[in-house]
Amino acid sequence: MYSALKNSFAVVLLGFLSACSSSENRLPIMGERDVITKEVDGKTVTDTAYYQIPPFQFVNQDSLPVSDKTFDGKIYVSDFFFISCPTICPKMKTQMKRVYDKFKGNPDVMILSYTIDPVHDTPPVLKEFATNLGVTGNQWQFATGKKEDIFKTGKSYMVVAQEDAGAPGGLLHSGHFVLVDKEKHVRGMYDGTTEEGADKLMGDIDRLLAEYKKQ
Amino acid sequence: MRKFSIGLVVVPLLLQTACQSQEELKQEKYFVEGYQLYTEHCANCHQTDGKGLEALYPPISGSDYLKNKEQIICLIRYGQNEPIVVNGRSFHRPMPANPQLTDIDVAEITTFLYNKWGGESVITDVKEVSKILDTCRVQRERAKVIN
Ligand code: HEC
Repeated sequence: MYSALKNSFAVVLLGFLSACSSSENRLPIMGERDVITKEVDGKTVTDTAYYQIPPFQFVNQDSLPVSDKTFDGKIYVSDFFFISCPTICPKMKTQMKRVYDKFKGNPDVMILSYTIDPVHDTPPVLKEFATNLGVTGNQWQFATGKKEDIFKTGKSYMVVAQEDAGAPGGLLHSGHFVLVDKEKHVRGMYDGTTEEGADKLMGDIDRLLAEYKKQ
Repeated sequence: MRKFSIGLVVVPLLLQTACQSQEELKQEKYFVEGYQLYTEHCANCHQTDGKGLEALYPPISGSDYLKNKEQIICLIRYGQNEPIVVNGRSFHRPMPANPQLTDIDVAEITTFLYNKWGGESVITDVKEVSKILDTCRVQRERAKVIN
């Protein structure tokens, strides 16, 4: 009896431990979620629907379409910036370049930077900026389009992007990097203006890649 | 007797450090405050280590452009719009002006740059900087009138 108890205790403990470690390894899914109840084989089951980045359609630095489809089956990091922004954008691009250099050539990882100053940041201007930053190929997409659409897309990533006369350059945007998984769920938000923020992001990309490897 | 001899050694030592500190303190103040101003206003583009960012923002560490000290003092305050060549590489993005920086701020930043990356070990005094800033302000106003 005693030993049986001990065994079951050990099993429970083990189960507990593994539950703990697996939830520790998995990144959280951010944003609002809906609980859906549906009928399966006459039984009611509940399912959780997590928030997903809605579809979008813009133009990239090569004047080619870039949309949510471009990122199907990819993990990607997104941010909002504009080229002539003197303050936080250079910091963000410094950090994003570190992320790019680390995951360069990895077919599962992409980067998507939206400009919030589309009048100035046209595809050729973005192309030149990318080239000067040392970015080639299409792993890092720079998106431009209608301002209202970009601001709306900003909201869909849960970040701020808007006009503001008081902000440097007349545009206000957050310095966040947003990590999106292959199911278009938001899995993390990071301070894109600091080395620590980018370090945390790179660690989390590795964890997310490991999650998909296990499946 | 023993006490006396120690006093003899200690007192001149104290005097000496006190004398040095006047100059040293000023240099340290310029350097430290220059470093803080650099971190706040410049490092986002030129990076904390002064190495710049690819072909976007030129390096200051190891830059051959540092020989143009007067131009550099001016561009810290007034920005830079003309393309420039640094170590054989051409840069053509505008550097924003910093009208909010006072003369002493510019002197401190210049001291930091040249002590850290320009091989200098003296301060660039605010008097010198004010004169240079005045000259380039006048030049810029003239250029505006002509254009
Ligand atoms: C928004 C980015 C940005 C900021 C902020 C900035 N610079 Fe620059 N800096 C540039 C660019 C771009 C150039 C090249 C300008 C050109 O091509 O005409 C430059 C050129 C220079 C140069 C001459 C070239 C070289 O590298 O030797 C120096 C020195 C310099 N900056 C120092 C500073 C200092 C000091 C500050 C802070 C007060 C500062 N910069 C702030 C972008 C910036």
